[in-house]
Amino acid sequence: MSEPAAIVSLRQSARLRYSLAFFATQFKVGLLTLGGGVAMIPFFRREIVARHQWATEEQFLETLTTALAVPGPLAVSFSTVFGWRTAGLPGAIAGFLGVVTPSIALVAIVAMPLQAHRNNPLLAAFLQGAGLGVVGLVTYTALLLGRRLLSGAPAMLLSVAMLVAIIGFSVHPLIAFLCTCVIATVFDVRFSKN
Amino acid sequence: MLLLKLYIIFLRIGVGGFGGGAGCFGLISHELATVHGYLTQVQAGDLIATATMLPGPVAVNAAALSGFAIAGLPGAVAAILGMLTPLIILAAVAVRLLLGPGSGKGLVNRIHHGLRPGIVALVAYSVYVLAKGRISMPQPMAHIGLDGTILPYAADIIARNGVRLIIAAAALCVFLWKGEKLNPALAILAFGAIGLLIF
Repeated sequence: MSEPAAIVSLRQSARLRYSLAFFATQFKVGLLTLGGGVAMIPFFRREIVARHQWATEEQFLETLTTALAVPGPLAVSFSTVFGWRTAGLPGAIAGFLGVVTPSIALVAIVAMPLQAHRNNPLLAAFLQGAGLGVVGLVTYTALLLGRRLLSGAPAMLLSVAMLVAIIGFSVHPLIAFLCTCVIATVFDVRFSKN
Repeated sequence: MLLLKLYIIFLRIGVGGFGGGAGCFGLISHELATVHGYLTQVQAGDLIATATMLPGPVAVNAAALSGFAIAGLPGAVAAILGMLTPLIILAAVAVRLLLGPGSGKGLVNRIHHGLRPGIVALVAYSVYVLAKGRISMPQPMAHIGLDGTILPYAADIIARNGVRLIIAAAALCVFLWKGEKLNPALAILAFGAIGLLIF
């Protein structure tokens, strides 16, 4: 099976010009989308599949699945993988910088006043409320992921065991994570319905 | 030297950063507050809450904000580069291995399945870390050890944190109710506004 036409034609024609256009769309989505990586994916799809037709729907989904196997924020891994796939190194750099640059710029603008007013009681109250909201949000994410990703008892036991190791026995989270992944991959228990 | 250290800390966070922003929060707070003491747990929690409200990938925002808080703009760049170095390398590997000719779909599948229990536990750990910064929890052993029940322990936590627990629980209910139709950044902004009214 060869690569579908959309992507082959990009390889032969101007890779750099494509990379610049790709950078611009990723920059735009990164700058304008509130709600993190998961919220950005539908906007990427609209730009890449519907508007510019750089890839077919199927290629888009294939790239997304591959990006999920790479650690780090989903939006960045998606952009980088898509860039690699379509235009090699220039494409990967364009995708990576396109998503990351707006973040650095915004943080540079926001972080300074935030630190200057760190002891302002109004800011503290605002962040206390927002922080408690985030506790709810992350709990929701944990429940959602647990329901979607864990179906069998072995998988659940492994998750709980990892959590107990970190919290109860002060194992470094990263070491616990790597051990869990190795155990789960080696024994290849069917962890999910799909 | 500090920049190099930041880079290496975030390199570690990046290696384990499967599961997007929510999975990174626990690692960021663990490394910066618990292990290295650059920030307090509350500061780390505030930065993470701010990251959630800014546009763009939340994990990148959180890395940039905490890098900035520790070492200014160079710190932000060091943190982002550290966190994303494994991503850049593995993205190249993934494209070669998984999308090239003769790619191993079976391998992807196996890795995906193998990562799942770990990802869920990482996100659950983030919940624990973030809640610990906001909600004061007494040492569990002092309560559980003697009579073998956790009820008094739970009652103690509720007595200490009434309003804060209610807000966090309300947030959870709103997300459970609205699901993915609710934009998380806007919802968190709204909870910040509620915080202004209450605290």
